[in-house]
Amino acid sequence: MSSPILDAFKDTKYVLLGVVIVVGYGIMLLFFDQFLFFSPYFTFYVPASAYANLLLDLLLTFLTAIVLTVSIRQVSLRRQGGNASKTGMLGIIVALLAGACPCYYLVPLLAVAGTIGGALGAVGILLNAFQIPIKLGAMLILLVATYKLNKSGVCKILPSSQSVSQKQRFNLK
Amino acid sequence: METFAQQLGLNMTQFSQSFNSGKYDLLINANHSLGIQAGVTETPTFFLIGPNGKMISIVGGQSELVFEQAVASLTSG
Repeated sequence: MSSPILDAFKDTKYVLLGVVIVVGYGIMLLFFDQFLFFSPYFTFYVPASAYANLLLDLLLTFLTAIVLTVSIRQVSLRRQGGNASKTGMLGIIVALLAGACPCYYLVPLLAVAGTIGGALGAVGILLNAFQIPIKLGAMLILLVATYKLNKSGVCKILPSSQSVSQKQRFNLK
Repeated sequence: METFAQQLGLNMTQFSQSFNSGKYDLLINANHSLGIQAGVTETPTFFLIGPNGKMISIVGGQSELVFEQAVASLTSG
């Protein structure tokens, strides 16, 4: 049985999709985690104390891109008549939920900045303080999703006309 | 908060008394409101004001180089 992950990245279309996800998601994550700044000047800065966090961000970015790309391909193959497993849709949901983990602590903080409420702010501060374990948890979820996706082979059914012609050929003999 | 205060080596008895009494609540809330009025969305946020009144805001823990560039830009113009 072939590997759905390797198969997906043999197709230029899905390689491009993967690159778009890595760039888009990577920029978002690096910006939220204060590695990338657009104002007052465009700068990329990693303090010595934040190397581990940067490594986690990069790993999360690549894992999210792999899970999302392969899952989208699984769903696409299913629509084209393939027998893709349910892991396609599940993979997309997992990648979006686990991959978006930095937003979990960012949203309550923004809510406070917008004077919505102090309770949300406390949640935001708490989530911010535990961002490394949260990211590690998200990475674990994405690793499991990658493994599951790789195990879920896709069996493509041959077009019916081809099957019929083969049957007819056998009957003639 | 208490763990953080301990790490800073503060007098914990004094800290707990001040924290629990809420005697600094008014000051904290006033500073919070001031920050919101100034458009602060995250910490740290710095406002650099040049001699001609021009202002550059630096949001987040940015590098020393950014501050040098900002100061140079404010003093040259």
